[in-house]
Amino acid sequence: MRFALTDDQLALGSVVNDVCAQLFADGAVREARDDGGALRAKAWSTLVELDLVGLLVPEELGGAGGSVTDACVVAEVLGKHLAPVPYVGTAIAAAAMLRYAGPEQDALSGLARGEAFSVLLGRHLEEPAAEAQVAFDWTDGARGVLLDPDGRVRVVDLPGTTLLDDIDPLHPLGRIRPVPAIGALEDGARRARAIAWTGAAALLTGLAAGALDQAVEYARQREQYGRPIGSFQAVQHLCADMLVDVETSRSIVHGASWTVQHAPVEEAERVASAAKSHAGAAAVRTCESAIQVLGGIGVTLEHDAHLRLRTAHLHQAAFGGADAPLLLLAARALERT
Amino acid sequence: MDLRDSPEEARFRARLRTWLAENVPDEPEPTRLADRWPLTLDFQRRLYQGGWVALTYPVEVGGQGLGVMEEAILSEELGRANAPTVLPLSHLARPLYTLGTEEQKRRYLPALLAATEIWCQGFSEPMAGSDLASLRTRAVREGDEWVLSGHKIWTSYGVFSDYCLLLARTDPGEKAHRGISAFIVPLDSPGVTVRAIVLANGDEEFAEVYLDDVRVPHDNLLGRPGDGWQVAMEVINHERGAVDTGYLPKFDRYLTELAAAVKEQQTPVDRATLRALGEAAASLEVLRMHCLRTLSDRASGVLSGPESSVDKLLMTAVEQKLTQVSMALLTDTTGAHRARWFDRYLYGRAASIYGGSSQIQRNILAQRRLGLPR
Repeated sequence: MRFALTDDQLALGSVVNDVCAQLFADGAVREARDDGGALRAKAWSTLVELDLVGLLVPEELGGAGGSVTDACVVAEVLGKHLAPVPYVGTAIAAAAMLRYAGPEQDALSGLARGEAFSVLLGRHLEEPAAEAQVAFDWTDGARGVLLDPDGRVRVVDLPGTTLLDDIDPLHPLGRIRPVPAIGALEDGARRARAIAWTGAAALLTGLAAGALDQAVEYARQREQYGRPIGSFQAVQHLCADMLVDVETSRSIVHGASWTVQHAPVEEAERVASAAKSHAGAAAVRTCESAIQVLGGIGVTLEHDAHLRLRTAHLHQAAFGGADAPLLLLAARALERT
Repeated sequence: MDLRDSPEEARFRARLRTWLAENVPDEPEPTRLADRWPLTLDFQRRLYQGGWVALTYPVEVGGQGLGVMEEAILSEELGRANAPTVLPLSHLARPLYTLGTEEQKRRYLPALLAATEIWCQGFSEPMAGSDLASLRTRAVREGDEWVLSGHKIWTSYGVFSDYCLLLARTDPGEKAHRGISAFIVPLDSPGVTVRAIVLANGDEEFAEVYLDDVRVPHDNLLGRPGDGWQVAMEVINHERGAVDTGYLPKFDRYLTELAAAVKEQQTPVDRATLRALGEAAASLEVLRMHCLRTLSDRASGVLSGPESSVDKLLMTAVEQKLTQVSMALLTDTTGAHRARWFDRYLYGRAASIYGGSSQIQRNILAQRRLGLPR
């Protein structure tokens, strides 16, 4: 039993971190709101070139044949940098559905080459009960991935999709023509859902880690009453709680990233539920606290703290909201006896 | 990252499971400490005879010479088997092992680990709680002896103990954490008075220890004079994790028992309460994974100390979550569970106080992990 990331995984994180530092330097993400998707497209093609988009696609289909843990390492770094790319939605959630609830080999190959795919969800971003209405983290021209009423994964074109006016400009939602779809029932689809939850949790952990870094850096240099505000215990305790949220999220995400791929599906679901619910709540709390430490600047358009909070809320809600994992865990606890 | 058991770990787990199946008592553990204590000791001694205590310690001092990950397996399997409470011993054994002389290790460690001699920790004082470094108990050298006088409080299992690992000030010229030394004090020494503190649930889990010119031989000094703070940190860094304290299996049992009680009560459970139960279950999974990470980091030697405050805060959050949820879930006053769970809930309130309060843990993280200015 070895819990720590491998040297290769640490190196992977470090490479992605360097790439992001270049791509998203000097407030590029804030300006990407109005660039017509230019930064998103540029960043995505960089990730495709680095074989990171096809990380979960098997090598024989043109992917990198990586592990869910590898993908989560990437997602966490992207979250930290607030990267405006559909990594969780496409490279993790859609890829996992196409692989584990399929496989849909052609689509997987296309995904690894950078073709756009979007997971289709209900209007509350929940798993569809009967029909899907929203394309998650939608790119113009993307095809939709869903479970048809027989529980088989299916890829559909999405003509006539329009942009929804929702909370997160970095991860747009498309309003699609309703299409029949259901939630995960079979083992493969359930495992794919667990992987999607874990991927979202990894991104959320990165969002929280970035928020903590910003808050701590600011608290060290901003002075009031002739002292850095980080010397005040009230501010220190806020930051300490953020650190606990970040580190505990990291622990459950890393553990879940292995479990969802290798453990029986029941266990995969249980641990992924804990990852999604914990990292989701932790990221929202941490992004809120960061705004508190930043003070007034944190609620302005020119700071990206609000974008972080937006992305955190969106991914906490994705693939079944904050409730779905909790209700699953409660049901499992009641079944234990 | 590979959470599979290695072949050796799998064999260890299989042996352990077989042993637990034959040795875990069927009857539920008594709620009251006084009723529970003899059974706790009995199970602890059986665990030791079975070879399941002090896994990471060398064989010559009473350990098993195994790796850190076996501790995680032990924790998991104790929980799965619904085993009774285990005594946390490892944190007190640690400084004896790292700083003790060969003679001290030989004399004290095997009996401590076998639970044939019970140890307690004499750190806190009435005026030195969170601010441990302001402790006032004094030790004065007289020839081959040290003479101790002072007053210790919040001594866990003090009334059940044979020995106390006690901190005292040996150099009154030094301030704060310098000038403190650690002593091994037999509690039957003349001049020692142990008085129980009765907790709100009626248990006498803590005690006050009064030292009135208590004489111990120089051989009972642990480490050198002035090493006391290092001893304290060794102990504290090993009592903040849920594996070290044996709390992981305890919380696992709590969740199982809570679910059973909810079912037995047969009250429809509303969505908000289900959500809260889900949060409690989630926090337990988080704790489980975080413990694996901590143990794994400990095995590779990358832990520096302040991280253990994350473990303590997490462990506290899990206990308080689980017990708060129990109060929300167990509403049937004609059922058999509410009083017992209230005791656990109340005990959970202590979790953010003992072993360094949650506020102190946050100070440590802010200043020593995040580098925020003092």
